[in-house]
Amino acid sequence: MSGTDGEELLEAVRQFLREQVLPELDGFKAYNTRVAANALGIVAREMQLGAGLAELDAKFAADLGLAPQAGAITRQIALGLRNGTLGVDDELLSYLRQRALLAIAIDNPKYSGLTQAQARWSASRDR
Amino acid sequence: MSPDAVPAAVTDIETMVDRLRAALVGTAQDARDNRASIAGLQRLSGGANMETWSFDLVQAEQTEPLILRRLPGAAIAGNNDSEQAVGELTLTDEAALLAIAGRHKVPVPAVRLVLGAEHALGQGYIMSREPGEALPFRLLADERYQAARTQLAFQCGQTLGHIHQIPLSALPVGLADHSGELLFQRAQALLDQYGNVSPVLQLGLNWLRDNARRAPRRTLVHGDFRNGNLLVGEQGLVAVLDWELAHLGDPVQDLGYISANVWRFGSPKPVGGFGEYADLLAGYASVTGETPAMQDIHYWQVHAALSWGIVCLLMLDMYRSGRDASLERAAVGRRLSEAEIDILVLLDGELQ
Repeated sequence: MSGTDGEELLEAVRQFLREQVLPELDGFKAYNTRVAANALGIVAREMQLGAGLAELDAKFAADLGLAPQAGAITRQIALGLRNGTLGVDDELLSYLRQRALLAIAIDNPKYSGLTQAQARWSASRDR
Repeated sequence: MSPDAVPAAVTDIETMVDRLRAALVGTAQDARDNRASIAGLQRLSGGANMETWSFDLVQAEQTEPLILRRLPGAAIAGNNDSEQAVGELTLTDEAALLAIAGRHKVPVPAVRLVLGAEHALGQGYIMSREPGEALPFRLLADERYQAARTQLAFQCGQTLGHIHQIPLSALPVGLADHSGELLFQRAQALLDQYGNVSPVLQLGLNWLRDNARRAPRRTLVHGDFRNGNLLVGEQGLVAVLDWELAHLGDPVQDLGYISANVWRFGSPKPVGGFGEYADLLAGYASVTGETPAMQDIHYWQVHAALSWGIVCLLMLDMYRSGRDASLERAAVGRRLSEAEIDILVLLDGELQ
């Protein structure tokens, strides 16, 4: 592939929606056009950061001895917590925090919860 | 679809205008006699099921601003199946609840007409369109609402006080009970139904169950009392909207909800992004004489974050199942990570 790459196309469409389409619209369609442009931003960030998330999951699954063929690791952990077969310890919490930080950095990096989490968890690491 | 269901195709504007006029004024002859017409009909919100429309009823020289809320595909009576979008109340019960709340000092739109089968507009009701702003970002940023913002947390406290003082005997019978163990059972059933995809939501639910609080009393809970569902004018709160999640439960739930992080829209102010806890609590105490503990508000903030996560999963399910394959549903489904980061921040130091 030597032409325009996927991230560039996403960015071009996003800019088109925001700068050319959005000013022509109002109400419900303007709102949805903004949502559409945001969704393309999520996909672009997933292309950049998604591999890190998969790596984190694979590493923690290996540490915990979970089999990848038994389904998504998040589902296996959720069911373990639900059924009381998995306890909450520092390793699990640390994994869930790292995962949540990465996920919000992809989905909505402007979300206030990301800043709050970074402030708290970097402070607790410093202690 | 049951035989008495209204065909879902009542969406072309001309037919709707005719039926709205007939519902509010009567026959075409009555409309001519009264020089009555429907003007400015426009759809306000998305979603394939629940619809909100804005329009004016013009009679002689009088203009009456109105809102229609309806499920176009639903039968009129007893339909509480999958046509129900997000809420738990039928629209008919929602209309009844609005009227009751209005009689108990809660600012709400006035219900103008509850739709019946003869109106051929689906299930729903028509209410007054009150002047004001409900869009959170405008409310938090616009100069015009500067004075309103300073009053709003206190007014929210007062209004929640009035909601929580409505006698249970005055309420419609269709209200779900979320008190005690029922709350946890319901949340667990939803997490199971949506495939147990989130360890963090499960962690949040486990914590809520392990730290269950003794409710001071069981009351009506609005269930979605937040910035975005409050209509605000320059003097402050004008009307409380969106009653579809109303239920019975612990009243402090509403105070945690209005101060949940996701509903602050990035503002540092804890109550709805516009106010302080002290003002919310002072307003609440001025009506009820009760001041809920901050620890209890924190508890219900965890619940509010869990609820937001469950709503995201519901939207995702609506999208994937094809029940409502709209962009809006797909996009909200992706916001699960907001709920997850909020739960982890709120439970920081509570789990080890």
